[in-house]
Amino acid sequence: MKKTSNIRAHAEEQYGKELTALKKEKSTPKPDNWVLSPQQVSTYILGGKAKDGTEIEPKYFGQKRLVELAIATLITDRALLLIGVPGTAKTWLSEHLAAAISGDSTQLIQGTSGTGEDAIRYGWNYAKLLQDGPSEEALVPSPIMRAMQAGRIARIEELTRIPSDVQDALITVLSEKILPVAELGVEIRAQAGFNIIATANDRDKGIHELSSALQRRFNTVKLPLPASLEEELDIVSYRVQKLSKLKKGKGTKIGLEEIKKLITVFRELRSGRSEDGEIKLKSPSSTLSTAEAISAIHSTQSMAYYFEHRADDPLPMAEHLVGAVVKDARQDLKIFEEYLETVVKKRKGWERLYEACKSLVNAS
Amino acid sequence: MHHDVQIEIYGIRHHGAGSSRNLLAALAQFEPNIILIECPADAQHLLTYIDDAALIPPVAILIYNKKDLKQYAYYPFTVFSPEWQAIRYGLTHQAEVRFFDLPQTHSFLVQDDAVSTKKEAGFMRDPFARMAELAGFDDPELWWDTYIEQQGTAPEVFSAINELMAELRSADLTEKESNNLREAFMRGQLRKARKEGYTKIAVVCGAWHAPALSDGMYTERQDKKLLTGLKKVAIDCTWVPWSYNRIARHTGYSSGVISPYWYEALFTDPDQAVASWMSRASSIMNDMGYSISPAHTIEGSNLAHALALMRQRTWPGISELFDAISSVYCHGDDDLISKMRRKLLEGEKVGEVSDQIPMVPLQKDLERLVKQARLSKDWRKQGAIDKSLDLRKKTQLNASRLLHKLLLLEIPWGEENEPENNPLGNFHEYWTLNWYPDYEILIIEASMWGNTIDEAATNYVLDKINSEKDFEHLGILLYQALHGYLPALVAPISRKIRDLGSVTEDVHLLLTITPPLIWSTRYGDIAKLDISAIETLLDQLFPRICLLLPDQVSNISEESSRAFFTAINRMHQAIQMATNTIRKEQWISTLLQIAKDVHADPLIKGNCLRIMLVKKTMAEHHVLSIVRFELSDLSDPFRPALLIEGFLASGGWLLIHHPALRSVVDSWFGALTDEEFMTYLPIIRRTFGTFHESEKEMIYSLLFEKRKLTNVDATLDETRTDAVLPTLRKLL
Repeated sequence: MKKTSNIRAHAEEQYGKELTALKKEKSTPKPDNWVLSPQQVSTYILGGKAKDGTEIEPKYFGQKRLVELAIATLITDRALLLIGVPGTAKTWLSEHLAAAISGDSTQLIQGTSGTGEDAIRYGWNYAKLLQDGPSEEALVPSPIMRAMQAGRIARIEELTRIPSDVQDALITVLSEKILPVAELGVEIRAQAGFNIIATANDRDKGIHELSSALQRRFNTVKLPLPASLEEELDIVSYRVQKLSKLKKGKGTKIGLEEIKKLITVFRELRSGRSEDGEIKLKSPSSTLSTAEAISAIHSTQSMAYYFEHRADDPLPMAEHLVGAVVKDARQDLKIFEEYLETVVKKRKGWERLYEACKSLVNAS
Repeated sequence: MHHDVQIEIYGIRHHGAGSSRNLLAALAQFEPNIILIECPADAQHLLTYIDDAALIPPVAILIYNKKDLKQYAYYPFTVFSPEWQAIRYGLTHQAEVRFFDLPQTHSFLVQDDAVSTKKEAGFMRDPFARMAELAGFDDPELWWDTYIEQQGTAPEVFSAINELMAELRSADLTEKESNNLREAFMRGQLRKARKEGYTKIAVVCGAWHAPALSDGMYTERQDKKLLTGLKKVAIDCTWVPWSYNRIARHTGYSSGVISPYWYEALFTDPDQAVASWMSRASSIMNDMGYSISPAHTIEGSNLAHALALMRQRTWPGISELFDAISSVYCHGDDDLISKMRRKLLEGEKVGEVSDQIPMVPLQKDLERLVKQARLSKDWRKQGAIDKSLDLRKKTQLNASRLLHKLLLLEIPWGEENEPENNPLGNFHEYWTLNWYPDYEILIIEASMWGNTIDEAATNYVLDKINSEKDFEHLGILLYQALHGYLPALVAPISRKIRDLGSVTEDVHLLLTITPPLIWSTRYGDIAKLDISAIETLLDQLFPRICLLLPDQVSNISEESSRAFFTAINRMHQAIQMATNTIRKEQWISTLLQIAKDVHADPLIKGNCLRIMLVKKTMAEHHVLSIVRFELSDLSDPFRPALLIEGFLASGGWLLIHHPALRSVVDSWFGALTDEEFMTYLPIIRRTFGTFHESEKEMIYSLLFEKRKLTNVDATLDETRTDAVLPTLRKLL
């Protein structure tokens, strides 16, 4: 493959080696048009070893049973809906599932309030349409149509942001597995292997809730925030290490202890109670997801690298921390200050972080 | 050994559905003429009751020490228990059935040293559950299916189990003394059966024991030596109804009976088990008001099977079932998932034991008392039955006493409704009766405290109050002890309350426990209660309340203000019904103090002011001047509104009957600015919202008739007043 400098590669490109290794090995039967068997998909997502010894990196760190539930859903002919608060790796999981099942994670619709029916069904090339009238050449297939024809997984991001009447265009696709093209008097039939993985944020569930008819076509899997500090720490340090393409320099690495502190702050503010469960706290308006923790630590490290800070200087991390917590200046700032005083101040070994945060809070 | 004797040892898993299926297949093939079952030999005579359909499982054998009811043991059976199926097989195929475990009469005396670790105990009780756990299975039945069932059909399965257990036992696990005795006894019984000439002997025992019952390793002489000189206690035993809840709860995780319903489905029809589980989920969801289509049942089953496939299991286990339900039925809603989980696991199924079966003495006593109180037709009836008891009639007084005694024993057959809603005076108690089958077990458990209801309730409560620190609970206990006519309890509980009450500063708590005591005093003669102890207690508690209350109702949060508000009114009602005039006076003067206190909480102050007005303790103009004064204070926007709320809490009739009050409130409203009005509106609405419809109508018409009559004024524009009316109606 030609060496390019795309910022980001598709999952199937980035982990092509792993997918090939798994594909080669003998497996239990594969559902029609699946690249891997269900067990192999599970190994690909959760990590392990291919039979030829290729190391399979874990892609998702949450509960194994949820991943199995997601894969099992795709074996049956129901579609999969992944829900969860922002930063619970819904998109990430959906991309990797599609890559592992169809070898293609690119049949993607980004749901917005402006998503129209043609994004789900098909559109027209108007130049051709005007010239020759409706014809197959003038038809512009949607990602879903393409996935149906090829027997692959189509992905819909933020399903609940799509207006309800547009959402309902999915019902025929999911229940009848056909997509009629009335203008041509034909129908597109889904090939085996076709299915849909949708994601939705359950915090803004209310925007356009699924009609019950559509909901019945989906099995729902809720992805939780990491249950324990250790679990979250594993995820964050693993992902930060993956993200970091920086050359090793003096003091560019943030120590595990510091990462642990940042995650502790995130978890405590998110849940509204201290980790020992003894102090009740107010939660700020910010989401404080695991993904944000990863990004905060990654940018702290990058800054340390490019600006040659010492990574053990608590100020850069404090800046990112305050930035992530304080979204609504007036309220969040007060909440954060209260948190600093009641929890952080008393902790041994947290003195420098406290000082750094305190100086930032006072300055704003 | 005679070579014409065949012995088959079936090591089973207690309550294992898979075990049961295998066992039945093995028995059918072997056709034994005697079946020895691991259950204490001294319960043997109870087997006669199984024959005549007197028992519907789940049921349990209860064995207890006659002299010391604290010592007892349960042996539960369900329809899917291998032991139960073995008994049924024996009865229907004319094979002798014998319980052959060490008699409980000895077991009660065998004390194991508490050295053995939990792990060993877990292995002995249910080696399969432990192994399943170690292998990462959360459902031992699934492990059984995956690892045992795959070994082949019946006879091979059991020999595989024997080998497995022999292997496990050879590991260095210290045998408990009781285990050695039991196995020695079982071997003895096995030898005896052989000597009696049985040629085909089937042994059904917990898998752990299987290798120890095979021949060769132990000699008859050793066993006899081990068993000589065992001491005995006098025991008795009976069948009791058992429930699926208790199978799941009491045996705990280690037994692996996560859901008895699931096991029952697995036993009765394994092929349909998943579908029947899902349709049960559907009907539960439908009952909760969700619309569930048959498609859900199918999708749920499909997903459960797909998950099993995914996890390389032969069929779905309990975790696959729940995963499928969370996704298909609950759409990932965590609250709903845990609710469903509870409902699916806890569904109540209770066994039946016919009344020809001997009962524990406490049951007999209860039956006698129920007859005496003429409650027989309500006994053991599920579903709420309302009952009013006239305490002047002997039998109904007995009923009241019995229900109170059962409450003391924490058998809540009846629930007493508070007398506030009682329009008929002092002679009646109002009860709601509802019997749950689980209470049968509570009775037998209570029997450890005594052989009669009186004795058991007394002993139980005496034991309980030692550690009881909750004032309110003690108050309730005292009330029930009085009304249950258990004089031996009254003094000790009173003493305990007095000790706690004299140190507590928590007036709210005192206020909460006192009213039931006051009710007791008012119809003491009718219920033939000895109320002198109560009077003494009240003499000590009541003055403290009156003394402390005024200081405690200023500067309090709205939450505690509302709590006090309720407690004060409850107390007021109780006092009104009481006969003691000194207390009445003390109480009224306490309320008067609050009514006059400038700093008192507005809600409570309003409440006290009303009582003063109604009781005519204060003159109307006096009350009104305080109200006017309070309403004039606009510095704190909520104080006036809360005062009005407290004042009008008993209903709109006050406004109707007191024109002067009406005009005070009316003019206060009139003086509000628009902005203030909007601030108060929600609180005012809350007050007026509680009024009766007819009261609202009346106030409305009073306000407007008055206006029309007095303000026949040319400047008043009819159309303008009419425009206001609809809004006013809405507000009222």
